Amino acid sequence: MDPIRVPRPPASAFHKNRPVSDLLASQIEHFQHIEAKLEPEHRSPFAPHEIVTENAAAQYITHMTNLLRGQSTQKAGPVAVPRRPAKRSSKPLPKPEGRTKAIALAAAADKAPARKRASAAKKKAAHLKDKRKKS
Amino acid sequence: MPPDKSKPGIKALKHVVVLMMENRSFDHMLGGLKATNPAIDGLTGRETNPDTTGVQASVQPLAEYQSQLDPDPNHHFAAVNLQIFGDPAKGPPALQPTMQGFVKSYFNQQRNVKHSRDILYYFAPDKLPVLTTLATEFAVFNRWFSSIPGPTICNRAFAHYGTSFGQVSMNLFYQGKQYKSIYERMLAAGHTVKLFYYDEASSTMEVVNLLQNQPSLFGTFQDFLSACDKDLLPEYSFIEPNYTDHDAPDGSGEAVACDQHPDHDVRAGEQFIATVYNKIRENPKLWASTALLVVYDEHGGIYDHVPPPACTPDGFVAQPSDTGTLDAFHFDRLGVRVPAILVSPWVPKGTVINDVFEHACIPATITDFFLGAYPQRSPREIAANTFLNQLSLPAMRAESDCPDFTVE
Repeated sequence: MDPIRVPRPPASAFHKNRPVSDLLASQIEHFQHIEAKLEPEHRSPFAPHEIVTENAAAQYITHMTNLLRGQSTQKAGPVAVPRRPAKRSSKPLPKPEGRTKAIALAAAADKAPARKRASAAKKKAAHLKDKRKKS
Repeated sequence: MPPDKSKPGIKALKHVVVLMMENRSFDHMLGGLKATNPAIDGLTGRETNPDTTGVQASVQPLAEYQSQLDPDPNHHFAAVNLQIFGDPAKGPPALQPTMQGFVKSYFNQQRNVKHSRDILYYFAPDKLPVLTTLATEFAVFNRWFSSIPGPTICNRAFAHYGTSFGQVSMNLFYQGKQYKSIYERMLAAGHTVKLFYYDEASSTMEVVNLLQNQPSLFGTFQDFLSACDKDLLPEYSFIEPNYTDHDAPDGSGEAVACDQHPDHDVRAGEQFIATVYNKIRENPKLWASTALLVVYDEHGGIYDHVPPPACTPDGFVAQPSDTGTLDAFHFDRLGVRVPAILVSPWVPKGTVINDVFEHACIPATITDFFLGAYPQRSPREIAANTFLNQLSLPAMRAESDCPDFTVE
């Protein structure tokens, strides 16, 4: 059987300033639920109202994932596909200001958010939705 | 049904890999295959949906890789109700599933009649060389449905837990519930498991439950590739694609979203699927001992012509305030059909599977194969079909009989 060619998407497919989707907004909200329970020194430097594009979401998600996994931001290895070579303008993400070692989360974090907290999360989500393109 | 361990393919099996993509329906991705293989329950080309002017719009092989399904089609519970039953507020028993509300549902987002018809478009098979080749060269499921007629996260929960614990939305807080995830079950029995997300910038959709409480379960896609090279692949692996276009955290370049979620470019997902397949296939030991399932979490609001069937009730109830409809939901019917393909050199070429599957079949299959009897599972998972018996050949297929992909 002859090899089947799998073309890469064109450069125009990459659109890091695309507004976050409902899916990403939910993922962010879940991270924010966890972040709200952290001591202030562990919280991310990203303001919720600034996380409106996919790239901004990725920076925040990097910070939170590394925090939860106890890893340094710089530890992530290169990923094979599908990736394009770095452009001159492409810079590494800033190191999070909080600690990067593993942290113990409050036992309360296992519980579903209290009503008051859920309401605050909804306000955040509504604010995000106002900012991004309607879907 | 537990796998028949007398079959050579089952005897050889040591690893199962599940790759779950995002938000595309069966007909949208694979419906065009019916023209060349009538056994595949795709499209005849005569399927229609009424638009809001009463005109019958037809399915057409005009799906584009990107920019066509923007805005993202609504796939929350009430919108899916409209797509399936023609009414956002009511369902069975008052209404039967007709699959006639997709165009009307998409119209609600932009009030653009012409654009609303795009929801019926499907890919010509040659536009998706990876997915359609795997579907025709290995086993394609004619009846794999999403677990819930709703969005991503509650559907993905069925792949991890065999239930969504009564949730029909994106907000999920499972910890401490009565059913353990497939990963906890496997680890408790001394087996190896890993969830591989793409990179830290994309991460996982299992944030509040698994990532928060069991971060050691996770690895990156690079870790998956490395594990395949070093013969260190876990017995069970679950792969999540890249959910965002972003600058790579290590500064190595642009990471293109490869989840195929609208409006991400579908070609990036094709490359991603091919990379997973190639990596397993490159290692002869792994190729002989691994089953790869490629499946989509839900239909993403995109048209499919097969009405979802009833299923074993889950024991949970979602109230009307959660579903956004007039009725409570008893988890007693499935969501819209999605693409699902089983890949292994022990699967007969051109297999078409007609039994009903859904995402609870994933933990059901892994549990049956690796753990055996395990009663503490959801009713849905206990009733679910398993898929490893498809590895039924008496001998492995020859290298030359299996496709090769050249990822550019």
